[in-house]
Amino acid sequence: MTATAKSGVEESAAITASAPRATSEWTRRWQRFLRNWLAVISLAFILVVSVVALASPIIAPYGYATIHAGQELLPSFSDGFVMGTDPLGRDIFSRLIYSIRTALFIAIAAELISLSVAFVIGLVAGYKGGKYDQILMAATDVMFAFPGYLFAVLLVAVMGRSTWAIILALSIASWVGQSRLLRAQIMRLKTMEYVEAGRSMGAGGWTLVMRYMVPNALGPVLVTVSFGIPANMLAESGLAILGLGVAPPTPSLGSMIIDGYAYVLNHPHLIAWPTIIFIAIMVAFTFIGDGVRDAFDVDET
Amino acid sequence: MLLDVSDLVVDFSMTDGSTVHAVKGLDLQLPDQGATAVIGESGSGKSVSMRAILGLLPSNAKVSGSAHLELGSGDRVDLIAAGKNRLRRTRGREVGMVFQNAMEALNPSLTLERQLSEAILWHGLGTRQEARKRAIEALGEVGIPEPERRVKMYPFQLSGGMRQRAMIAMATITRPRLVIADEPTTALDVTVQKQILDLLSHMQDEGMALVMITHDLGVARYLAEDGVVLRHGEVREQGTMQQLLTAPEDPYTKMLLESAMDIRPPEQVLTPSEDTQSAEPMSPAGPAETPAREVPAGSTGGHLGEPGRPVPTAPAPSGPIPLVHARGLVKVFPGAAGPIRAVDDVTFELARGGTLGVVGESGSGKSTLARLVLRLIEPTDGEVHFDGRDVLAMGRRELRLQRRSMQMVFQSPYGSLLPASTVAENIAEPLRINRIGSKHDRRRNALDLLDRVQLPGSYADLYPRQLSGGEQQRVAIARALALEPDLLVADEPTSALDASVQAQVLELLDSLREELGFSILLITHNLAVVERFADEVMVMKSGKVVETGATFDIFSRPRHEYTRTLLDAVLPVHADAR
Repeated sequence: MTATAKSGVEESAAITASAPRATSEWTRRWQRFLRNWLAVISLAFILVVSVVALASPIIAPYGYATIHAGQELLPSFSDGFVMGTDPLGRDIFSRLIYSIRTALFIAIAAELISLSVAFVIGLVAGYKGGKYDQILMAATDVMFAFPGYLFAVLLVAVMGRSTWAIILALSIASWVGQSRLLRAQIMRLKTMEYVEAGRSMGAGGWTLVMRYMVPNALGPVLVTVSFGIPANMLAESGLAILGLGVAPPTPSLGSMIIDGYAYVLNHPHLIAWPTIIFIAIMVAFTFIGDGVRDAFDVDET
Repeated sequence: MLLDVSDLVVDFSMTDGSTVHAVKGLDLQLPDQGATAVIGESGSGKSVSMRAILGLLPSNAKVSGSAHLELGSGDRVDLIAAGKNRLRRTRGREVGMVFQNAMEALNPSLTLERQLSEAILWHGLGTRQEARKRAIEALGEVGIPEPERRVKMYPFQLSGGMRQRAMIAMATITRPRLVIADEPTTALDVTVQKQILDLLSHMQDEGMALVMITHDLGVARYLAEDGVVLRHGEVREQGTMQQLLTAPEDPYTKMLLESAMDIRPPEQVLTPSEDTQSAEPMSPAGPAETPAREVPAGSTGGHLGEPGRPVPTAPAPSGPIPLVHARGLVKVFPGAAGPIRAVDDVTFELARGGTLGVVGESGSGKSTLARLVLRLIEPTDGEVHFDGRDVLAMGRRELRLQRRSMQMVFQSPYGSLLPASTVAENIAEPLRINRIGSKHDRRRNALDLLDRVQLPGSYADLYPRQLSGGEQQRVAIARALALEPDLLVADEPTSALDASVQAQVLELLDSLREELGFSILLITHNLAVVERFADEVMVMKSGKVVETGATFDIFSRPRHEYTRTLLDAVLPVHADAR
């Protein structure tokens, strides 16, 4: 057996010689994300947009409701008004960045809420299984059959056009798919050997779920998040177009677009700016989603 | 000469910009007749090189060199330089391919008839009618009973061995001059393996030359006259099998040969078997030691000892308490075609410090049994006593504490480690879960264990995927030992590893057992492993225990016919093996 023992040393030596550096799983994912340059550019764009939106009170040259009498419907690139003004003489650029702030806040908050609900439901249904699973999945099926957007419209109509009403309405429409996704992920991971190994080491249910399953279920969930945020933005502007968005004078992308609609032939800049920015944000999120998928979508052997 | 490969080079360009040199200049000459074994471990390039010849590699592979094949017409064609059409006409017509996994290689949505006749139709070798007739004949030739009926079936309706036969029928239906078989029996049970090999060797009599890609020297010896040993994409040694197995010249071939485990003939076993018996006097110390051992292991004794519960006294009428005593274990799974009795009335004892080998083919219930003993799954019926305590009567908290003294090593070394944690974190994981020691203590403990399993300390901060399979399994063993268990359940601990590493890992496990005094429940399909490392053997078939006894007795005087079948199916590597 001495010969085999020697070869064991050989094997180790060969591996040390090639000196693999310890790179963590997250570092590797980040490196894979960086390889997708569209996603990187999109991420940079979204970060810039978010900073501008957050700092809108500082950056905006005027308040979103400030009316400049006598300067109505100025074209783009006018003196002092980069994007021009609307029929009431309000600065479009200022209104635009304020509405992005509102839109992003609503979209991200709604996503976080639906994600939290989905986590609780998905984890319990997936891990506990049996009765819990049946009851929870029956509930999601009912929700799934229900037209979510109609529900949102109803909710806003009943609760009034406040920001939180809209957030709640949007999150109710989107937790269903995510809970199912998480449940499926957990059920898949439950059969993995390292989870069984965890159990045989004496890990309790909480440790198993939180330490062994959730980190490994995160990939697909993050992808849905990066697609869910733009979907929420779209839904929010849709509500605004229906007249159920945040109450005026707080601007929103949807209300800016629908307000500009009346002037589309003579003053297209009213509708062009919010639409272009809106589409850019949506596309950027989609690319980020692709990048996230690339980062996670690797056979880990 | 049928096939003349010279200076075959295959490079893969990876997505991260690096290049993997899979085959580095392979030269190979195949005679018109006979079987040649291409032998190598994982990463040797044995599969890649054969696929390169047939143009079956993905588009990121760069192939150079030449592979001249002599066609039936007498022409010679270089397959590497040949165009797509030429290749298509060659594949299936001149060269047939048998893959390892017939379930994946057969189209699940077509009947055998369709799949078998396709090759005939594509190559214009007959009409649909004739093709259908040939399909039935071909199935008959590979030994599938009632070919007229089975030809209408879909692949999933056949057993594993049948599917592999159908696969061979498909590869040979056009009577190619060369058949390349890529590990055709690795996914099969041993008893089926021999039948398939016999079939392949029968096909040679029909005038087909055979290339057998394999990692198993026993298979190569059984079937092939000539052999090529590959390692890291290079040829290490080439010659007749006889020469390779009796007078190897290359150190790597020698090492492969030495690490290949055979069942030793009885006269060779006698001495070591007496050794283990003289080492046995460990167990008489068992009962006296039992209460004392519980405390340091941090197990159930202290804080959970219910006053009402009787202190475990020996229930057995005589002798020491076995560490594990399972009685009448039954596990029934619900199945589509009625309940399946995966484990059916299994009773066994495992002595403290001993090794019990559980042998069986797939579906024998051996893995289920392992999980029942640890209560990772709940038995339908029966009892498990660990150290005299009833495991099945334990509450949830009690069971979690009890699990500290029974740990498991899994088949897939990578799959059982946490991918996002470092080696040291993985080893310390059981301590972390059970909140033992400070972070600093746990790390020191992990480093000690790393040393125990003979890995360098520099591995502590690497991630599991950066290690080789054998090293990963060492890490998994270190982790299982972190809680100083009394029982280690090893479920096929080496079957995912290369043969040269298997022996090392098992030797390590065995020496650790001697040093630390735990018991091993060794689950395996490999009889040679059991013969070498277990004191006692239990042979299982379809959930039932067929035969049980001391290793030496079972191997020298098998009483049950199934045990004899298993023993006969083993293909020895060394000439002096039984």
